Amino acid sequence: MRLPQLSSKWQVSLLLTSWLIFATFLLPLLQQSLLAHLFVAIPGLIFFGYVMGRTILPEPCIIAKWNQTGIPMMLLASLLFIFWMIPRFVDTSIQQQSLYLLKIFSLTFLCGLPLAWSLKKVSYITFNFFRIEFIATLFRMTWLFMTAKERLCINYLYSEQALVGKTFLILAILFSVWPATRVVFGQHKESTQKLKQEYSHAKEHTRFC
Amino acid sequence: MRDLILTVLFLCAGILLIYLQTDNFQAFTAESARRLDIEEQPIKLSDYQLIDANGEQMNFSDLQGKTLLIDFIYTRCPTVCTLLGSSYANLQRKIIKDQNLKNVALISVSFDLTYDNAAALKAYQQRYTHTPEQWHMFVPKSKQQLHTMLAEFSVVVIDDLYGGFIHNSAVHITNDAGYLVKVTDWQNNVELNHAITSVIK
Repeated sequence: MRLPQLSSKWQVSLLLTSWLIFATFLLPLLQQSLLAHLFVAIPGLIFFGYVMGRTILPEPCIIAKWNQTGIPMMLLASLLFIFWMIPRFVDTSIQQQSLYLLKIFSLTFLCGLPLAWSLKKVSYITFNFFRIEFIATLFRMTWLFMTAKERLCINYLYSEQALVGKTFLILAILFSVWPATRVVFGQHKESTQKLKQEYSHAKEHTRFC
Repeated sequence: MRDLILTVLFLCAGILLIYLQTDNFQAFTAESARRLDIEEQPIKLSDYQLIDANGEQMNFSDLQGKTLLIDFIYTRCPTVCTLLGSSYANLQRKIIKDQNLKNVALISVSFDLTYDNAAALKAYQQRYTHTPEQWHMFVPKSKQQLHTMLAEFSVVVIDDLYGGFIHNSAVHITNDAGYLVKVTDWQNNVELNHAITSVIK
Protein backbone atom coordinates (compact mmCIF):
# COMPACT_ATOMS: atom_id res chain seq x y z
CA MET A 1 0.00 0.00 0.00
CA ARG A 2 1.51 3.27 -1.04
CA LEU A 3 1.00 6.17 1.30
CA PRO A 4 1.58 9.76 0.26
CA GLN A 5 4.58 11.51 1.72
CA LEU A 6 3.13 14.12 4.02
CA SER A 7 5.33 17.08 3.54
CA SER A 8 3.07 20.03 4.13
CA LYS A 9 2.56 21.09 7.69
CA TRP A 10 -1.21 21.02 7.63
CA GLN A 11 -1.24 17.35 6.59
CA VAL A 12 1.10 16.44 9.43
CA SER A 13 -0.97 18.39 11.92
CA LEU A 14 -4.14 16.76 10.52
CA LEU A 15 -2.70 13.33 11.23
CA LEU A 16 -1.61 14.26 14.72
CA THR A 17 -4.89 15.96 15.53
CA SER A 18 -6.94 13.02 14.34
CA TRP A 19 -4.79 10.72 16.47
CA LEU A 20 -5.33 12.93 19.51
CA ILE A 21 -9.07 13.13 18.91
CA PHE A 22 -9.22 9.36 18.54
CA ALA A 23 -7.20 8.81 21.70
CA THR A 24 -9.02 11.27 23.93
CA PHE A 25 -12.63 11.38 22.75
CA LEU A 26 -13.32 8.29 20.68
CA LEU A 27 -11.49 5.79 22.87
CA PRO A 28 -13.70 6.16 25.97
CA LEU A 29 -16.75 5.77 23.74
CA LEU A 30 -15.33 2.69 22.08
CA GLN A 31 -14.40 1.21 25.43
CA GLN A 32 -18.06 1.02 26.42
CA SER A 33 -18.38 -2.15 24.38
CA LEU A 34 -15.96 -5.06 24.47
CA LEU A 35 -16.42 -5.65 20.73
CA ALA A 36 -15.46 -2.08 19.84
CA HIS A 37 -12.66 -2.09 22.39
CA LEU A 38 -10.91 -5.14 20.99
CA PHE A 39 -11.68 -4.71 17.30
CA VAL A 40 -11.77 -0.97 16.73
CA ALA A 41 -9.93 0.80 19.57
CA ILE A 42 -6.77 -1.31 19.72
CA PRO A 43 -6.35 -1.76 15.93
CA GLY A 44 -7.20 1.92 15.52
CA LEU A 45 -4.30 3.01 17.70
CA ILE A 46 -1.98 0.61 15.91
CA PHE A 47 -3.20 1.96 12.57
CA PHE A 48 -2.40 5.53 13.59
CA GLY A 49 1.07 4.44 14.63
CA TYR A 50 1.50 2.62 11.34
CA VAL A 51 0.54 5.68 9.31
CA MET A 52 2.91 7.81 11.37
CA GLY A 53 5.67 5.29 10.79
CA ARG A 54 5.17 5.33 7.05
CA THR A 55 4.87 9.09 6.67
CA ILE A 56 6.19 11.39 9.35
CA LEU A 57 8.36 9.20 11.59
CA PRO A 58 10.70 7.08 9.46
CA GLU A 59 13.04 4.64 11.09
CA PRO A 60 16.05 6.27 12.76
CA CYS A 61 19.47 4.92 11.76
CA ILE A 62 20.29 3.53 15.19
CA ILE A 63 17.21 1.35 15.16
CA ALA A 64 17.73 0.43 11.51
CA LYS A 65 21.16 -0.97 12.39
CA TRP A 66 19.61 -3.29 14.97
CA ASN A 67 16.57 -4.05 12.86
CA GLN A 68 18.05 -5.16 9.56
CA THR A 69 15.80 -8.17 9.15
CA GLY A 70 12.78 -6.47 10.66
CA ILE A 71 12.22 -9.32 13.10
CA PRO A 72 12.91 -7.59 16.46
CA MET A 73 10.46 -4.81 15.78
CA MET A 74 7.79 -7.24 14.54
CA LEU A 75 8.28 -9.21 17.76
CA LEU A 76 7.92 -6.07 19.86
CA ALA A 77 4.72 -5.14 18.04
CA SER A 78 3.27 -8.66 18.48
CA LEU A 79 4.14 -8.85 22.18
CA LEU A 80 2.48 -5.53 22.92
CA PHE A 81 -0.57 -6.45 20.86
CA ILE A 82 -1.00 -9.68 22.83
CA PHE A 83 -0.35 -7.89 26.13
CA TRP A 84 -3.23 -5.46 25.67
CA MET A 85 -5.58 -8.30 24.68
CA ILE A 86 -5.17 -10.13 28.00
CA PRO A 87 -8.52 -9.70 29.89
CA ARG A 88 -6.88 -8.37 33.04
CA PHE A 89 -5.25 -5.49 31.18
CA VAL A 90 -8.37 -4.80 29.16
CA ASP A 91 -10.02 -4.18 32.54
CA THR A 92 -7.27 -2.21 34.21
CA SER A 93 -6.81 0.04 31.18
CA ILE A 94 -10.40 1.18 31.73
CA GLN A 95 -10.14 1.49 35.49
CA GLN A 96 -6.75 3.18 35.87
CA GLN A 97 -5.83 6.45 34.20
CA SER A 98 -2.11 5.68 34.11
CA LEU A 99 -2.59 2.41 32.27
CA TYR A 100 -5.01 4.09 29.88
CA LEU A 101 -2.35 6.59 28.83
CA LEU A 102 0.29 3.89 28.72
CA LYS A 103 -1.89 1.90 26.37
CA ILE A 104 -2.34 4.80 23.98
CA PHE A 105 1.37 5.56 23.79
CA SER A 106 2.61 2.00 23.71
CA LEU A 107 0.16 0.90 21.02
CA THR A 108 0.85 3.90 18.82
CA PHE A 109 4.60 4.27 19.21
CA LEU A 110 5.83 0.86 20.30
CA CYS A 111 3.47 -1.23 18.21
CA GLY A 112 2.34 0.82 15.21
CA LEU A 113 5.66 2.49 14.42
CA PRO A 114 7.81 -0.66 14.60
CA LEU A 115 5.20 -2.46 12.52
CA ALA A 116 5.48 0.19 9.82
CA TRP A 117 9.29 0.10 9.86
CA SER A 118 9.52 -3.66 9.73
CA LEU A 119 6.83 -4.49 7.20
CA LYS A 120 8.74 -2.58 4.55
CA LYS A 121 11.86 -4.68 4.82
CA VAL A 122 10.78 -7.97 6.34
CA SER A 123 11.43 -11.02 4.20
CA TYR A 124 8.63 -13.02 2.64
CA ILE A 125 9.19 -15.96 4.97
CA THR A 126 9.23 -13.78 8.10
CA PHE A 127 6.07 -12.00 7.01
CA ASN A 128 4.23 -15.26 6.51
CA PHE A 129 5.50 -16.63 9.82
CA PHE A 130 4.05 -13.66 11.66
CA ARG A 131 0.89 -13.88 9.60
CA ILE A 132 0.41 -17.55 10.53
CA GLU A 133 1.04 -16.74 14.17
CA PHE A 134 -1.50 -13.95 13.95
CA ILE A 135 -4.14 -16.31 12.55
CA ALA A 136 -3.26 -18.84 15.27
CA THR A 137 -3.65 -16.13 17.91
CA LEU A 138 -7.09 -15.28 16.55
CA PHE A 139 -8.08 -18.94 16.89
CA ARG A 140 -6.68 -19.09 20.43
CA MET A 141 -8.64 -15.98 21.41
CA THR A 142 -11.75 -17.55 19.90
CA TRP A 143 -11.23 -20.58 22.08
CA LEU A 144 -10.60 -18.44 25.14
CA PHE A 145 -13.65 -16.23 24.78
CA MET A 146 -16.06 -18.89 23.60
CA THR A 147 -15.26 -21.56 26.17
CA ALA A 148 -14.86 -19.45 29.32
CA LYS A 149 -17.58 -20.36 31.82
CA GLU A 150 -17.34 -17.13 33.77
CA ARG A 151 -16.89 -13.48 32.82
CA LEU A 152 -13.29 -12.80 31.93
CA CYS A 153 -13.54 -9.02 31.94
CA ILE A 154 -15.38 -7.65 34.96
CA ASN A 155 -16.29 -4.44 33.19
CA TYR A 156 -18.26 -6.18 30.46
CA LEU A 157 -21.25 -8.51 30.23
CA TYR A 158 -21.08 -12.22 29.53
CA SER A 159 -23.13 -11.79 26.36
CA GLU A 160 -20.51 -9.40 24.97
CA GLN A 161 -17.86 -12.00 25.67
CA ALA A 162 -19.74 -14.61 23.62
CA LEU A 163 -20.16 -12.12 20.77
CA VAL A 164 -16.45 -11.32 20.82
CA GLY A 165 -15.64 -15.02 20.65
CA LYS A 166 -17.78 -15.44 17.56
CA THR A 167 -16.22 -12.37 15.94
CA PHE A 168 -12.75 -13.76 16.57
CA LEU A 169 -13.83 -17.00 14.90
CA ILE A 170 -15.13 -15.17 11.82
CA LEU A 171 -11.97 -13.07 11.58
CA ALA A 172 -9.74 -16.10 12.00
CA ILE A 173 -11.56 -17.93 9.22
CA LEU A 174 -11.42 -14.91 6.90
CA PHE A 175 -7.72 -14.34 7.52
CA SER A 176 -6.89 -17.99 6.88
CA VAL A 177 -9.10 -18.29 3.82
CA TRP A 178 -7.68 -15.18 2.11
CA PRO A 179 -4.20 -16.58 1.34
CA ALA A 180 -5.84 -19.81 0.20
CA THR A 181 -7.91 -17.94 -2.37
CA ARG A 182 -4.78 -16.19 -3.59
CA VAL A 183 -3.08 -19.52 -4.13
CA VAL A 184 -6.12 -21.01 -5.85
CA PHE A 185 -6.50 -18.09 -8.22
CA GLY A 186 -2.96 -18.28 -9.58
CA GLN A 187 -1.05 -15.53 -7.85
CA HIS A 188 1.41 -18.04 -6.49
CA LYS A 189 3.68 -17.63 -9.49
CA GLU A 190 4.74 -14.29 -8.11
CA SER A 191 5.36 -15.71 -4.65
CA THR A 192 7.39 -18.64 -5.96
CA GLN A 193 9.52 -16.14 -7.84
CA LYS A 194 9.93 -14.12 -4.66
CA LEU A 195 10.86 -17.25 -2.71
CA LYS A 196 13.45 -18.18 -5.35
CA GLN A 197 14.90 -14.70 -5.17
CA GLU A 198 15.05 -14.81 -1.38
CA TYR A 199 16.67 -18.24 -1.43
CA SER A 200 19.35 -17.32 -3.96
CA HIS A 201 20.03 -14.07 -2.18
CA ALA A 202 20.36 -15.86 1.14
CA LYS A 203 22.63 -18.53 -0.34
CA GLU A 204 24.85 -15.87 -1.84
CA HIS A 205 24.95 -13.97 1.39
CA THR A 206 25.99 -16.94 3.53
CA ARG A 207 28.95 -17.81 1.34
CA PHE A 208 30.87 -14.84 2.60
CA CYS A 209 30.28 -15.50 6.31
CA MET B 1 23.63 -10.97 14.61
CA ARG B 2 22.45 -7.74 16.19
CA ASP B 3 18.93 -8.66 15.19
CA LEU B 4 19.22 -11.97 16.97
CA ILE B 5 20.40 -10.31 20.17
CA LEU B 6 17.59 -7.79 20.07
CA THR B 7 15.02 -10.47 19.27
CA VAL B 8 16.09 -12.61 22.21
CA LEU B 9 16.13 -9.52 24.43
CA PHE B 10 12.62 -8.52 23.45
CA LEU B 11 11.36 -12.07 23.91
CA CYS B 12 12.82 -12.29 27.42
CA ALA B 13 11.59 -8.80 28.28
CA GLY B 14 8.10 -9.61 27.02
CA ILE B 15 7.88 -12.84 29.00
CA LEU B 16 9.26 -11.08 32.09
CA LEU B 17 6.73 -8.27 31.74
CA ILE B 18 3.81 -10.67 31.52
CA TYR B 19 5.27 -12.74 34.38
CA LEU B 20 5.51 -9.72 36.66
CA GLN B 21 2.20 -8.16 35.70
CA THR B 22 0.14 -11.32 36.08
CA ASP B 23 1.59 -12.28 39.47
CA ASN B 24 3.76 -15.11 38.22
CA PHE B 25 1.35 -16.20 35.48
CA GLN B 26 -1.43 -16.74 38.00
CA ALA B 27 -3.90 -13.96 37.41
CA PHE B 28 -4.93 -13.32 33.81
CA THR B 29 -8.30 -11.90 34.74
CA ALA B 30 -9.07 -8.95 36.97
CA GLU B 31 -11.19 -11.12 39.27
CA SER B 32 -8.44 -13.66 39.98
CA ALA B 33 -6.00 -10.75 40.37
CA ARG B 34 -8.06 -9.16 43.11
CA ARG B 35 -8.49 -12.48 44.93
CA LEU B 36 -4.76 -13.11 44.82
CA ASP B 37 -3.98 -9.56 46.00
CA ILE B 38 -6.34 -9.84 48.94
CA GLU B 39 -4.92 -13.21 49.98
CA GLU B 40 -1.36 -11.94 49.87
CA GLN B 41 -2.11 -8.64 51.53
CA PRO B 42 -5.30 -8.42 53.59
CA ILE B 43 -7.01 -5.06 53.40
CA LYS B 44 -8.04 -3.11 56.48
CA LEU B 45 -11.61 -2.08 55.85
CA SER B 46 -12.76 1.36 56.86
CA ASP B 47 -15.88 2.12 58.83
CA TYR B 48 -19.06 2.34 56.77
CA GLN B 49 -22.42 3.79 57.74
CA LEU B 50 -25.08 1.24 56.93
CA ILE B 51 -28.83 0.98 57.33
CA ASP B 52 -30.12 -2.42 58.42
CA ALA B 53 -33.35 -4.27 57.65
CA ASN B 54 -35.16 -2.49 60.50
CA GLY B 55 -34.31 0.91 59.13
CA GLU B 56 -31.79 1.66 61.87
CA GLN B 57 -28.39 3.08 61.18
CA MET B 58 -25.35 1.05 62.16
CA ASN B 59 -21.64 1.41 61.81
CA PHE B 60 -19.61 -1.36 60.27
CA SER B 61 -17.21 -1.18 63.20
CA ASP B 62 -20.02 -2.29 65.54
CA LEU B 63 -19.52 -5.77 64.10
CA GLN B 64 -15.83 -5.89 64.84
CA GLY B 65 -14.62 -8.89 66.76
CA LYS B 66 -16.63 -11.26 64.61
CA THR B 67 -15.66 -13.24 61.56
CA LEU B 68 -17.84 -11.91 58.78
CA LEU B 69 -18.90 -13.39 55.48
CA ILE B 70 -19.99 -10.50 53.27
CA ASP B 71 -21.71 -10.66 49.91
CA PHE B 72 -23.07 -7.95 47.66
CA ILE B 73 -26.57 -8.37 46.27
CA TYR B 74 -29.55 -6.44 45.05
CA THR B 75 -33.00 -7.73 45.93
CA ARG B 76 -34.52 -7.56 42.44
CA CYS B 77 -31.89 -9.92 41.05
CA PRO B 78 -33.42 -13.08 39.51
CA THR B 79 -30.18 -14.99 39.17
CA VAL B 80 -27.01 -15.06 41.24
CA CYS B 81 -28.30 -13.19 44.29
CA THR B 82 -31.03 -15.79 44.81
CA LEU B 83 -28.35 -18.49 44.81
CA LEU B 84 -26.30 -16.43 47.23
CA GLY B 85 -29.37 -16.14 49.43
CA SER B 86 -29.94 -19.90 49.54
CA SER B 87 -26.27 -20.50 50.20
CA TYR B 88 -26.38 -18.05 53.08
CA ALA B 89 -29.53 -19.69 54.44
CA ASN B 90 -27.67 -23.00 54.59
CA LEU B 91 -24.72 -21.38 56.32
CA GLN B 92 -27.02 -19.64 58.75
CA ARG B 93 -28.69 -22.90 59.75
CA LYS B 94 -25.24 -24.30 60.44
CA ILE B 95 -23.96 -21.41 62.55
CA ILE B 96 -27.13 -21.01 64.61
CA LYS B 97 -27.06 -24.65 65.65
CA ASP B 98 -23.47 -24.59 66.84
CA GLN B 99 -22.78 -22.64 70.05
CA ASN B 100 -19.09 -22.32 69.17
CA LEU B 101 -19.95 -20.29 66.10
CA LYS B 102 -21.51 -17.37 67.95
CA ASN B 103 -18.84 -15.04 66.63
CA VAL B 104 -19.58 -15.65 62.99
CA ALA B 105 -21.99 -13.38 61.16
CA LEU B 106 -23.30 -13.32 57.60
CA ILE B 107 -23.70 -9.93 55.95
CA SER B 108 -25.58 -9.17 52.76
CA VAL B 109 -25.04 -5.65 51.46
CA SER B 110 -27.25 -4.24 48.74
CA PHE B 111 -25.71 -1.85 46.23
CA ASP B 112 -29.02 -0.84 44.69
CA LEU B 113 -29.72 2.40 46.54
CA THR B 114 -32.71 3.27 44.36
CA TYR B 115 -34.94 0.27 45.08
CA ASP B 116 -33.56 -1.44 48.14
CA ASN B 117 -34.85 0.10 51.34
CA ALA B 118 -35.25 -1.62 54.72
CA ALA B 119 -38.54 -3.29 53.73
CA ALA B 120 -37.05 -4.74 50.55
CA LEU B 121 -34.11 -6.12 52.52
CA LYS B 122 -36.44 -7.73 55.03
CA ALA B 123 -38.53 -9.26 52.24
CA TYR B 124 -35.41 -10.66 50.59
CA GLN B 125 -34.25 -12.27 53.80
CA GLN B 126 -37.66 -13.73 54.53
CA ARG B 127 -37.52 -15.61 51.26
CA TYR B 128 -34.77 -17.77 52.70
CA THR B 129 -35.06 -17.86 56.46
CA HIS B 130 -37.46 -17.31 59.38
CA THR B 131 -34.96 -15.63 61.64
CA PRO B 132 -32.50 -12.81 61.08
CA GLU B 133 -30.18 -14.22 63.72
CA GLN B 134 -26.53 -13.90 62.75
CA TRP B 135 -27.45 -12.82 59.21
CA HIS B 136 -27.55 -9.06 58.81
CA MET B 137 -28.92 -7.25 55.76
CA PHE B 138 -27.55 -3.80 55.03
CA VAL B 139 -27.76 -1.03 52.51
CA PRO B 140 -25.15 1.77 52.57
CA LYS B 141 -26.40 5.07 53.87
CA SER B 142 -25.34 7.19 50.91
CA LYS B 143 -23.89 6.92 47.42
CA GLN B 144 -20.54 8.01 48.73
CA GLN B 145 -20.51 5.23 51.32
CA LEU B 146 -21.49 2.77 48.61
CA HIS B 147 -18.64 3.88 46.36
CA THR B 148 -16.13 3.65 49.19
CA MET B 149 -17.32 0.17 50.02
CA LEU B 150 -17.30 -1.07 46.43
CA ALA B 151 -13.85 0.42 45.87
CA GLU B 152 -12.36 -1.19 48.96
CA PHE B 153 -13.83 -4.57 48.12
CA SER B 154 -12.98 -4.11 44.41
CA VAL B 155 -16.51 -4.97 43.38
CA VAL B 156 -17.46 -3.71 39.94
CA VAL B 157 -21.16 -3.20 39.24
CA ILE B 158 -22.39 -2.62 35.69
CA ASP B 159 -25.82 -2.32 34.12
CA ASP B 160 -27.06 -5.46 32.44
CA LEU B 161 -29.27 -3.68 29.88
CA TYR B 162 -32.43 -5.22 31.41
CA GLY B 163 -32.73 -2.81 34.31
CA GLY B 164 -30.64 -4.98 36.59
CA PHE B 165 -26.98 -5.26 37.41
CA ILE B 166 -24.09 -7.58 36.75
CA HIS B 167 -21.39 -7.75 39.38
CA ASN B 168 -18.48 -9.98 40.30
CA SER B 169 -20.40 -11.84 42.98
CA ALA B 170 -18.38 -13.58 45.61
CA VAL B 171 -18.28 -14.16 49.35
CA HIS B 172 -15.80 -11.87 51.09
CA ILE B 173 -14.38 -13.17 54.35
CA THR B 174 -13.06 -10.82 57.01
CA ASN B 175 -11.33 -11.80 60.20
CA ASP B 176 -12.09 -10.49 63.68
CA ALA B 177 -9.57 -7.66 63.37
CA GLY B 178 -11.51 -6.10 60.51
CA TYR B 179 -9.21 -7.23 57.70
CA LEU B 180 -10.54 -8.61 54.44
CA VAL B 181 -8.60 -11.85 54.19
CA LYS B 182 -10.18 -13.93 51.45
CA VAL B 183 -12.59 -13.77 48.55
CA THR B 184 -14.21 -17.00 47.45
CA ASP B 185 -17.16 -18.30 45.43
CA TRP B 186 -20.50 -19.11 47.02
CA GLN B 187 -20.19 -22.61 45.55
CA ASN B 188 -16.89 -23.21 47.32
CA ASN B 189 -18.24 -25.00 50.38
CA VAL B 190 -14.80 -26.15 51.50
CA GLU B 191 -13.51 -22.59 51.84
CA LEU B 192 -16.69 -21.32 53.47
CA ASN B 193 -16.72 -24.11 56.04
CA HIS B 194 -13.05 -23.49 56.74
CA ALA B 195 -13.71 -19.80 57.27
CA ILE B 196 -16.58 -20.47 59.65
CA THR B 197 -14.85 -23.16 61.69
CA SER B 198 -11.62 -21.17 61.99
CA VAL B 199 -13.23 -19.27 64.87
CA ILE B 200 -13.16 -22.47 66.87
CA LYS B 201 -9.66 -22.42 68.26
